[in-house]
Formats: sequence, structure tokens, C-alpha cells
Amino acid sequence: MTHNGAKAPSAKKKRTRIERRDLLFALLLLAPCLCLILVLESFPIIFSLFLTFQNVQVGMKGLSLQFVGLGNWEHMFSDQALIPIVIRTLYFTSLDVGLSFLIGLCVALVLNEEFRGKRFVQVALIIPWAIPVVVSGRMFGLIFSAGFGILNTLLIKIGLINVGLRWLTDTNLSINTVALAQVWTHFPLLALFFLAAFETISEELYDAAKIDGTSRWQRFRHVTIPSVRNIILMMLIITTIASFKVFDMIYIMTMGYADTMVWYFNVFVQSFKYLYFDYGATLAYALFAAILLLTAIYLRLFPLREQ
Amino acid sequence: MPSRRSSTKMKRNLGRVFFYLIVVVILLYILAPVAWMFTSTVLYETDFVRLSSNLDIPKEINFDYYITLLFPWIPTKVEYGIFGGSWFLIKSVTDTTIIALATTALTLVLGSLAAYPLARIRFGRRQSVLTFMVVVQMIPGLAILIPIFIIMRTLGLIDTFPGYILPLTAYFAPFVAWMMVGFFQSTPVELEDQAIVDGCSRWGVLARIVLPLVAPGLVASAVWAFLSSWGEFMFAIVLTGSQVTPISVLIALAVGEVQARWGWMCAQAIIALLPPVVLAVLLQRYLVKGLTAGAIKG
Repeated sequence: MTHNGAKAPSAKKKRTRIERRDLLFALLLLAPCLCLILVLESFPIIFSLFLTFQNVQVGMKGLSLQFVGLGNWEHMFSDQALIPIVIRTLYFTSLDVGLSFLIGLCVALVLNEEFRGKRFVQVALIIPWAIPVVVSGRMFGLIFSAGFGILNTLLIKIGLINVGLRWLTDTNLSINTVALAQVWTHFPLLALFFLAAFETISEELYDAAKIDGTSRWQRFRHVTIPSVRNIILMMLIITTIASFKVFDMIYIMTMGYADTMVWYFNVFVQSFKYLYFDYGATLAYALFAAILLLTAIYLRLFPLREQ
Repeated sequence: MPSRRSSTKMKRNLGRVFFYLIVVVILLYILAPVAWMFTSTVLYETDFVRLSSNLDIPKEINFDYYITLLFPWIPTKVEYGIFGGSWFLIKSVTDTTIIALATTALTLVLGSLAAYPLARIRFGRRQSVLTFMVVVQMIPGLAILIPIFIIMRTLGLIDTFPGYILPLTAYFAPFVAWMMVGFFQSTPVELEDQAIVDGCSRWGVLARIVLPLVAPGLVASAVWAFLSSWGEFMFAIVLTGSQVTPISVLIALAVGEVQARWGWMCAQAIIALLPPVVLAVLLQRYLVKGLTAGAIKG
């Protein structure tokens, strides 16, 4: 009794000492990263929230701030000019996400088979993703050029159209053109994720399904898709968020003209072209809220893994 | 019987042909746009326009655009204009290299150091810090860019290296930390416990046992950070300018200057895509594994 009683506290003391040393170690490692994030992410995002309640005037001497309460938010909700922008953003996102998924899935299904030259396709797949978006934008500008662009030339030669289309200046067409270019940069990552997911499905499942006399399509529909459902949902959310934040491609290809102004680009234009920092911050916050909402749904569906 | 067998064989062959047709279409979809852009850089402008608008096969190719951009002291046949005969591209590539290397190094060190305790050491607020790291990644860049611009202007750091590299590091570090947490968690904890029992300090364990084990993760993170910072444009267009000119800004602003100088612009673009593409292709295995590992496990 006494023996045990004498030993227990010292063991406990020792353990807390180790724990405290571990905690200090953890803090030392975390501190630099967290400090930088606090200064250049957390502080700015709070500052942005503060700006949404201010009237910001940019003058020669710097900024002058004046509290306006919910003024910017009221402005946003009554701003008629935002309605087409919201619709266009949703349209652009569905087009971008839908096509990227379709192409990504097809490519992943092909790469899931064994064939000669598979490795080459796999390596090539990383290229559209690795190329800076600014470069891809310039590249598609060249291809979609109305005057001498190769796409128009080829379409005319095979007889699909008679006159070259104004891909980037026709207001009915331009947002689709930008989306097509954006799909090219988005699909590789999706294909890689699907492929990685396919590889986790055990062969036995397929073999069992084959013995049951199922067709290729049935196996795809009832074995493959359910097994990668979670990844599909996760990628859906990640890609949607990425698509909301389209910026580089619009800047390079259209600058938001010809009816290609989407929400995120509008944030940029309001903030850094017209210097309405207050309104820009409000618009940015609205998008942040939408993204957080999407993320919350995602976290509900797939809780963070605990160790 | 024989006819039936040959018909199934034919069917299979047809399937094979169809399959390879799809593979070719995929390859064309991936590579043809890049190849086309490259074509525009090795032809004189009139030749290229004729090829592009009428499919006229050009007679000669040349590398004059590249020579003028990379070796400005060598005279070539292509018109100088604003694009040729100066050092602006070399300066921009140098700037971009400095930015990408510094950002990669900083992100890698800060991110992976922070990831280790998040993966291994039990402390009270660990889960909150992890959640924080995820939420921070959801912040749209423009929401923080407005205050960062105001801060950097106040500090006089607009158009300087630190004024761009530090925000970029802060923006990229959470993702690298998040990716590295997964790699640290996948290393066997027994090795570390054994080393601690043997009297090795936490630092010793990290440096001598854990870091070598997560080397593939470090490579993946480094490549990701390099690629992301090399091509980054949104922060760059706001925070840099003429003193520090990332290549993305150079390419973006070129169009306003000379509208139809495609050869020049595309030659710049090809030079800009080479470092990230070569790196990604060479280290593709690591990169893909790093990017997909966390998601597939979770």
C-alpha cells in the first residue's frame, strides 16, 4: 500500500514532465507556421470582415474609413447587376465541373485497363495540370482566335460551320469558351483521383461479379461507382470550390468582357480596378460563406478522421 | 464453330482498335494544344498565320523568337519591337526562380515542421489546430488579398520579394502541412517509440528516423509548392510589378502591349511552362501519390 502510494505520484510526475516537454516541442514546431498563418491569413480575413462594415475612401494620403454598419451588405443584396453574375457563375461552374468529371472519369476508366503505352499517357496526364494557368489561357487564346485560329479553320474545313465563330467576343459563346479552356486544366487531377480510387477496389469484387454473369456496364454501375462514391462526392466539392475561384483564365482570355464576368472576377474588378475595397471585401466574404457552407456539408458527409 | 470463333476474335480485335482510338483521342486532347502553341513559336508570323488559317504547310522553321528572348545580344531576323533585344525575359525568369525556390523552401520547412506534432504528439488543442488548417484553405485568396495589399503598401513592400513571397508562403503552407500530416501518420509509430526508449530525443527522432521515412512526401510537397508558386498569378498581379516581375505577370500583361504578336507571346509561354512541366513529368510518381494519398485514405 505505502509502497504503491509512494510510487504512483512520482510516475505521474514523470509523465507530466514528459508531456510538458512534448507540448513544448510541439509548440516550437508549430509556432513558425502558425505565426505566419495568423499574420498573413487570419489577421487579413478578420480585417476583411471589418472592411465590410466600413466605407473605404482611397485618397492621396492613404485610406480613410467610416463605419457604415451593414451598408455594404445591403448594397450587395440590392445590387441588380449581380443577378446575371450569379447566374453566370453557377452556369460556368456546372459546365466546368460537369465536363471535367465526364472527361476525368473516361480517362480514368481507360487508364484502369492494362495496355501498351499506359505509362506514357499517365505521365502526359500531369502536363495540363502542371502548366501555369496563365500559359494555358494564352494557348487557348491562340487556338480559339477568331481571325486565324486553328479551331475555326478545322471546323470550316470539315464543314461543321461556314463562318468562323467569334469564340471570345461573341457574348453568347465566350463564357463557354472560357469553361472549355478551364476544363482542360481541371480534368487531369480528377482523372488521377478516380484512378487512385479505382485501384483501391479489390479484384475479388470484380471476379465475384463476373461469376454472377454481369456485363461490363453492370460491373461499372454496381461495383465501381459505389466503391468510389465518397471520392466522387469529395472531388465534386473540391472542384466546385476551385471553379468558383476561376480567375487566371478569365483575366487572360477575356478580362471579364463579352459577358464573362463571374463572381470571383467581379471581386477583383471591384477591389483592384475601381478600388472599392469595402464592397470587394463584402463580395469576397459572401463567396467565403458559400464555400464554408459547401465545406460544412462535406465535413458532415465525411468527418475528419480521428487517430 | 470456326466461323463463330473467328467472329468473337474479330469482335475482340475491333474492341481493341476502338480502345486504342480512345487512347489516341485522349493523347491528342492533352498534347495537341501544347504542340500547336509550340508550332507558333518556330514559324515566322506570316507563315504561321497562313498555316493556321488555311493549313498551308510552311517551308522553314526557325528558333529566332527563343534566341532573341534568351540571348538578346544575338541579332535575329524577327522584328524587335518591344519584345526583343532586351533582358526583360531573363530578368523575369530569374525573379520567378527566386520566388519559386524561396516559397518552396519556406513552405516545406514550415509546413512539415508543423505537420509532425499534428500527426504524432497528443496535446489538448490538436484537433482544433487541424480543423483550423483545413478552414484556412477554404479562404478565397481575394478575401485576404485586399488587406494584404493594404498592409504591404503601408509597409512599402509592394513590388518587393518579401512582400510577395511571405503572403504566398502563408497561403500555401496549410495545404503542405495537411498533406504532410497524412505522410507522418503513415509511418510506423513503433520505430519512434523504440528510439525514444533508447534515449533518443524528440528532435533526434524527427531528424534521423521520421524525416527520411517521409522523404517521398517531402518531394511531393516540394514539387507541388514549386509548381504552385511558379505559375501563381492572382497575388502576383496585385503585389508585384516592374521591380519584381513573375513570369505569369509578364505573360498576362504582354497582350495589352502588342495585340497580335503571337509568336513572341507563345515563345514566352513555352519558356514559362518548361520548368514546372519538366519537374512534374520527372517526379510524376511522387506528386500523384502525394496529392491523392490523403484523400483516398480518408
